[in-house]
Amino acid sequence: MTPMHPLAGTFGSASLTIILLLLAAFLAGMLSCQLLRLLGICCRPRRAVNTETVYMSVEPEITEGGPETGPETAPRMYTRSIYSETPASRPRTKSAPPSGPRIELRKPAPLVEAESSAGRSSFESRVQEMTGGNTPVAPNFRTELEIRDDGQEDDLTRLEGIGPNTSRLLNEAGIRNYARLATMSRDELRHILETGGPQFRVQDPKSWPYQAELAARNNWDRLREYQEFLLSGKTR
Amino acid sequence: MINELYQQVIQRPDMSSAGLEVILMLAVAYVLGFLFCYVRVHRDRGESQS
Repeated sequence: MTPMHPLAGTFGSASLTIILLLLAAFLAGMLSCQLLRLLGICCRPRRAVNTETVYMSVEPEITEGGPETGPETAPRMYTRSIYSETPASRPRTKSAPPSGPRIELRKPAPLVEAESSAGRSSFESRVQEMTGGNTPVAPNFRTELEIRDDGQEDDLTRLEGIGPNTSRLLNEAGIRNYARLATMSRDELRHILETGGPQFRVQDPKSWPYQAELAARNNWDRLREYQEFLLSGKTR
Repeated sequence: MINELYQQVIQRPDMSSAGLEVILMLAVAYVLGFLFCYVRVHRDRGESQS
């Protein structure tokens, strides 16, 4: 029986070297995996198919006026208004339909905010509130409305949805011209109608401020188109 | 460098007959490293999809 070497079965003093060799072999395996992955031979993770719809980014053109102005070049944005246009409130005519993607300038102000704004009559403060204070008011637009808001009385019955009785009620509430009506919010007008009596509660003042804004700016053509749209929507 | 280390190992008196075993150990370590990278890549893929 041969005596066993005292270091038999172990790596003896070569343990550190063995460990280094194993570590090097491990790293070599990882490196080869990475190389094969980069070469696309194996280990390449399959990329998930991007099903997200990609929209073409276009730079909108801000134009004055409505869809009837200028050449038909898509896309375009209409004149900034204190009342945001929505697809439902945009005039639709057969002769000049708006082209290009529908772009809204901003979301309509929440109705809850209008409750807190009761009593505010300044047009500028109203605009600053609806735009978050970031969008300056166009000087010519503001000046025009300030000039018109000199206490004169306008015929509010020219606006669709406002009859003689409703006009009288609005006059009693201090709304005597288009500029003043344009500064009112929907909730404020609805509150006036509710306090006027049950016969006024069925009316919907949603479009009145925008109509009044167009009338205050003497944009009668656009107002006529908008009123035609309102009437066509009611008869459908 | 690896070759030098290997030669140092198998030239030791107590490791003179362990050449084959060392080669097998290195091969296993290489495969383990490869599988480690492979599994890690596919695990990351699974997390990115979930």
